[in-house]
Amino acid sequence: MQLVCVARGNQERGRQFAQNLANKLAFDCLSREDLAELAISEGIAVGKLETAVVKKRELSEREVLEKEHYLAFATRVLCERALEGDVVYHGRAGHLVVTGLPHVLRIRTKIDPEIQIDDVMRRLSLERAKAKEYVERVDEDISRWLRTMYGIGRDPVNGYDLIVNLDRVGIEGATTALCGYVQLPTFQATPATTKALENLILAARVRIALARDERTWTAQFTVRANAGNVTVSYLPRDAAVGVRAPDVVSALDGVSTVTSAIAASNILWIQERFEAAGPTFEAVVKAATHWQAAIELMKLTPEPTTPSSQEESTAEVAAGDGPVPLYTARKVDGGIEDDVEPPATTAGDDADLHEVFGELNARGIAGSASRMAADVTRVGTAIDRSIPYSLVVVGDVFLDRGHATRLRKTRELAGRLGDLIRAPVVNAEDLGHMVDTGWSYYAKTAALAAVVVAIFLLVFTHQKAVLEFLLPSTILQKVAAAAAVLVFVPLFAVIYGTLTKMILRLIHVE
Amino acid sequence: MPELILKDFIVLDLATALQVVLLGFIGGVLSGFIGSGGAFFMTPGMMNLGVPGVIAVGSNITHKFGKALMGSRKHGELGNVDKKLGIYLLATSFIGIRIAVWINTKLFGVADAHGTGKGAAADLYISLVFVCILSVVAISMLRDVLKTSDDDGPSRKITEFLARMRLSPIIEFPVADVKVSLWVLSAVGLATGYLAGTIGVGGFIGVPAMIYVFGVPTAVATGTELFLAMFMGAFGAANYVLEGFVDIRLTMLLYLGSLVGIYIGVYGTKVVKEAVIRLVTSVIILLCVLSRAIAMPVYLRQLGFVHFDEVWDVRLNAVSKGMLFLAGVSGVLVIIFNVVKAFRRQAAIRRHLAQTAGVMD
Repeated sequence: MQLVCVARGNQERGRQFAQNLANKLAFDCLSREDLAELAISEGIAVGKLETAVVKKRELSEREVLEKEHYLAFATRVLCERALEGDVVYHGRAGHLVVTGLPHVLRIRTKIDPEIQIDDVMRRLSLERAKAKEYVERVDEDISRWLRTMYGIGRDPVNGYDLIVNLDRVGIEGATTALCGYVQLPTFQATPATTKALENLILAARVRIALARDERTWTAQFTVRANAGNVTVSYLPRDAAVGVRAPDVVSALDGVSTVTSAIAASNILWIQERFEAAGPTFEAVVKAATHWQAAIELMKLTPEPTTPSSQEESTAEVAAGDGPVPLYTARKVDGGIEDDVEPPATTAGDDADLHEVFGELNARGIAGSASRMAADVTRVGTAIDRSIPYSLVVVGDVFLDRGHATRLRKTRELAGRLGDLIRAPVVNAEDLGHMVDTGWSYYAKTAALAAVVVAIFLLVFTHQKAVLEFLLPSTILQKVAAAAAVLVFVPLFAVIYGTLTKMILRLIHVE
Repeated sequence: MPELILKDFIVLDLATALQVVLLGFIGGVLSGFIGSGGAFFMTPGMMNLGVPGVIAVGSNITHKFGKALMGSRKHGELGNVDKKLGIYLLATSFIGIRIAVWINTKLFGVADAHGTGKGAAADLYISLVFVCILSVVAISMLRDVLKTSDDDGPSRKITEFLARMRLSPIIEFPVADVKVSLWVLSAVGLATGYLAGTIGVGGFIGVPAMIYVFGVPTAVATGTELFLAMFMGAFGAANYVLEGFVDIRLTMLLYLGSLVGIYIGVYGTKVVKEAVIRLVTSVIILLCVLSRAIAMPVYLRQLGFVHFDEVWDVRLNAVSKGMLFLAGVSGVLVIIFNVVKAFRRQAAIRRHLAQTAGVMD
């Protein structure tokens, strides 16, 4: 039931490390190559995906569907193995194959590039220069593979519980040390992790069935499963195909109910303290109503200021740092929600969240609500990238910090989310502007345009007088000219700059 | 020589005015896209239209003042401005600007033995500084693009080296979270001010210096540089106004194009890959440098240092102008192509959303 994922890139020693670890722990060992072979034997065109990555080209629509098929297959195989027994999986970025399981131990192996080149020289009988080129090329391919398959860059640190430096500690030393580490309670299977594994397997099986059925293979789907209740969501452009999904999956083993929804979009609203009557609430609701989107709330709780001894250690233990789900509406992906499950927790600190969620639910636009620590990296990692967010609103966060630090950390969070999610990430103030394009907006734009035109007419119909004023001869005239320029220029820049911004916003260039 | 309306101010017909607006637009797109600069295109561009170099610099630095004010305000809202660092740099940069204005003014009055070629010495000097500094910037940037991988941050070698030297007094800057020697601060401030006053391009030195020498985070370096540029722009503008070298008409026309361009350029940075941004930037700067280098023999001839037929002035200026526009326009076309592509993609998403809304109604 335990699952250890090793991201070893293309390192031969990383592979040996994973196999050695599996042997010592008496775990089953599964490699990315085994997984790919199984997928090929099931008719999945893994080769085409690899070729697209190596040739540095975008995936075609057909290949995108093949990618989804492969990812679902990989999840199913790995989770089934993990359900049957303990597994060590090793691949290019092993920790990304299954996400959302809190007990997975995620390890990255690291090795000095020179040693890696020596290994390749020995293994492939290459000269040093060629071996170096080979290592660099394969590394680039792996980075592109990650971007193509999982939509993220190759982060050297984040996302792992442990980074093992193999050229310092060696394979034997590392595996011996890790045998004890694996026994920590954090990485043990629990009834909850078993349930999560079963849900993932069911969701993957449903996705594979949709990919293999001639009625539905042409559409992109996002599937979630919870104790036999399956939610299948699809993009608006696939609406004609998407409606057939229940017919395809309802007969599958383990499926008790199927909810099918158009994944119009979701708005993710991140904040530290929610208010049901504030301007941000109104702006978010307005946007959600306008776009027919559901609102997911994520409450951030302040980070502990003093790091614990565990955090101070070189090993980064991140299991259990993901969002704590509090309320979940039945249809999450873009559906307009009616029913709400009882809250998973009733902590008094979440009263604001409870109130806002209730308000959203009353308006039929509630998605889900969760809570997690206000840590830029963890929040970024915890976001489910499979959800088609149309907008992410970062409200007031890091409230326990000083003003400048708060602004900076908020920007860092928005920047990180912007890198990870293909959706606009805005703050509450920007959102207010985005949806505010009523008559007052047009009137303000027209007034500013009139002012700008008037200034231009005034200057260009009196060019000589203006230039004479700017050619002062006495000290007094010089000071007057300088003062006039220093007042006029910023004023004009602000007026014209605001006008430009407002016009571009009207035509959606922002 | 273009027709003059008053002293050294040129007559602005519709064609010239539109060309200045276009210069502003291209400079704005490049400025929004690159994050700093734009002047490297606008200053020589105006010189190619017949505006004397010193008036081109004076009008452009005045334009930069307002632009930096808006940028600094926005960065301030985002917590990217270390005002303490900005104020320390300001003090020394003012001296740098004053030196630059003094040199430019002195050189502007220099003529050859026959009293002709007034302004050519200043033009030559500005062009020379322009070519030297921006060649180094563009080549370093190109090297950086070719060498750096996605995971690498800015190098901290210089920062760590200076930190080890511990040149007292050391000052702490809490927003940028760095400690810097007053001596290093002064040297960087002086260089930034001098370049801003000479060619109107202080950011190309200030931002990299803050990142690589002080170890300041990139966003804070940009925000602080804009804060600095606002005061330097104001100080530079006041100085050039006192000398009678600011053509406010040019400043206004530049704004007309640049503020639209900036928004489009910034939009471009969201849809174009980082490496491509830096590659496009360095190639554009190199072409601008080449354009200025081609115009330099004209100033040398006007000063009597070299001798060739006057007709070559027109030809060399035409080639210089053509190359500058080629650099700017091709760079802007690449950016606009990507912006339009992204815009169409977003429009398609909006249409899907609207259709979905219809289905759900």
